[in-house]
Amino acid sequence: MSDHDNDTGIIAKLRAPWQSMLDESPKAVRTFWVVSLVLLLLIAFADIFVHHHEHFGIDGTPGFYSLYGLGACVVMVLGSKFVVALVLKRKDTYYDD
Amino acid sequence: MIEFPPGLILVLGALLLPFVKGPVRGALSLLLPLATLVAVWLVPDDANVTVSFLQGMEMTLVKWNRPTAVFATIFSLMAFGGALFALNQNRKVELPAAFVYAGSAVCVTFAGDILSLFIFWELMAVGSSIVVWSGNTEASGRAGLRYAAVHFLGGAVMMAGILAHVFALNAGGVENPLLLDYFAFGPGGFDALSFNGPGDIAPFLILIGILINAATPPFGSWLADAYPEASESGTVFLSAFTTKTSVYVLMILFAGTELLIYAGMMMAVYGIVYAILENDMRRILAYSIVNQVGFMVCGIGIGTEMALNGAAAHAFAHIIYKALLLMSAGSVLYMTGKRKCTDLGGLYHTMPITMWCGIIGALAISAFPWTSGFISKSMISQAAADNHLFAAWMVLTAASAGVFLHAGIKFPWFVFFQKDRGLRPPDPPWNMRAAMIFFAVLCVALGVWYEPLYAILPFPNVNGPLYEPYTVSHVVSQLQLLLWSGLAFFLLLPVLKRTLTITLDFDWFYRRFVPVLWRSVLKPVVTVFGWSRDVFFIESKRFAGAMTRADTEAARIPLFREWSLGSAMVLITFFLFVFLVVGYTH
Repeated sequence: MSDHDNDTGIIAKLRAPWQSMLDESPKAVRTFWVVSLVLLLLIAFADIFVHHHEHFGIDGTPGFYSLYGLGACVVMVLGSKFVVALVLKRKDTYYDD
Repeated sequence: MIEFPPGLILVLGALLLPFVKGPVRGALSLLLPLATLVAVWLVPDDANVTVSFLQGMEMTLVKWNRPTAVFATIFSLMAFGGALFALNQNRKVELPAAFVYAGSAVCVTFAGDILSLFIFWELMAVGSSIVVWSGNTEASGRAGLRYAAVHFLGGAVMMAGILAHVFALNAGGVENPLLLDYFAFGPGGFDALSFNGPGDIAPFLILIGILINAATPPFGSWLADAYPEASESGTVFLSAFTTKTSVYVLMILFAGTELLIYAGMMMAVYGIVYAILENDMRRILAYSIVNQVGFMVCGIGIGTEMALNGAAAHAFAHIIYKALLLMSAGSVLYMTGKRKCTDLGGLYHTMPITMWCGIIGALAISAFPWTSGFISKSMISQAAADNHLFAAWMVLTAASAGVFLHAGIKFPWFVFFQKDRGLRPPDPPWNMRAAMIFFAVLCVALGVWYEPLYAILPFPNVNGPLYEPYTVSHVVSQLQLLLWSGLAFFLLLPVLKRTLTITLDFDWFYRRFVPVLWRSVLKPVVTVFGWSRDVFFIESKRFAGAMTRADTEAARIPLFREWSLGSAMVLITFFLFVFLVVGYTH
């Protein structure tokens, strides 16, 4: 694990939260990721065969729900972390005194 | 034949609990909710139990309203699950208070007039405040006080609205102005609003009173403030009744009010943003209550039969999976004494049952296919799409993705996985495990076998199925939405690193702004002008005395001194309740 401690690349950052579990069972983590990525692609491309009933035009586009799910979450997380938190975040002892 | 409000079994039964001990207490605490459930289902379809009140007024204590069956059933079931989870705890007051709270919620759903609805509504506030206080910490004491103050204020606002409307109806020569039908403002009454008399402001006051209890921002900060301060079992009870009773009352009084669509959208987004930033595991789940109630409020705003069915079904499903999630979090707190994500992690090693039940609750709140959330939430989205409400549909869909992110993955991930903190507690005692397994089974059972729930919805369809959740298109689109938002979570994990922080909310105004304003601005001014605190209050008392023509002798007796709003409301509620019981027995 020490190989990665000083690494600041994007892969290392993505890897860091998994380190504890990687140390314990690298195989389980790898299996989780492989299965997940296969599922993600399968479900996204399922739209080629599935007809969605359109209500608004865009919701019938193949892959719409995948991209919208991903996009909405990215916007919400970044918006919370870098806009709302900027104004409203305080130490958790704020009300204690 | 049931000729009394079924909820009274819980309310009055709760008063017996303090007098029994050991196995008898345990048995009684499990039997009372079950007896209530049975009684709910034994109420005849045409029940109309009334008592006369004052002169010429009539209160209707038992009457089926359209959503009564759904809400009364789930409230009773929830009381049972909560009692099972709380079986091993020995706090004297918590369970009786929780039963008064739950029983009053059941009574609200059977109320056929606005006054009895209000009495039980206030009794719920009394019961739930005591549940918060039963957390028995300094923090829970203060949070409970703020909780009680907000709720009694909300009750006072609502009562003002009720009175204004009753007076207006009375002036219009209406026979029995308390009947709930006169308070069904719906879309018409609200949109055609004009200010010609005191009655015209009534819907607004009543709506604000209900929205305070529904935790709609900016009135909603009490929820995330108070709920996580209660005990492990207390929070489980609290999560179920207050906001969902508000959903019930909104559905009766304000179905189709367009404003609620926007209020619901705001709640759904607010819950996600605050939950993303939160570190306390039970507070994360508290924020997600607001998010989920947002879906229901939005459905009520849409107001079509499909939307109202969806809102009611979602309330039913939500109570179960939210209680399950809070039981899982409560078990972790009970076994480790820790509640912050930054202190937890790696618990999958030794708490498998708690983990799996937590994950099932997380899947259900995320509305994964074959869980209870899927068969209920999709109805609300469908109603938004059917009515071409583009903005509402987009926000609800984004919020569905966000639920998986902030509650569905975040809660299990940070508590049971991520970094191993070396904690190795076993699963909790048997009754807590049993309660979790019971609710986990219900989450899956409802997702697969949903017909019994659909059959008791406000608008059950007699010919053919009323909604078909499992179409290929529904399942595929939902799985796409969820799995790809899951990917977003893991890609953004470095950004989502937990920090020792809280996020300010509206409660800042009464926790910080007002006290500071008093200390550093108003008090110095008052002092400069030579009025001591005592003079200030004595003057106001003399003024109040002059107003009411009370003589100074009377003012010296404690009973006649000024009352705080909270204690006054408690007293009024108590007397109304006593009156109700006495009136009923005659």
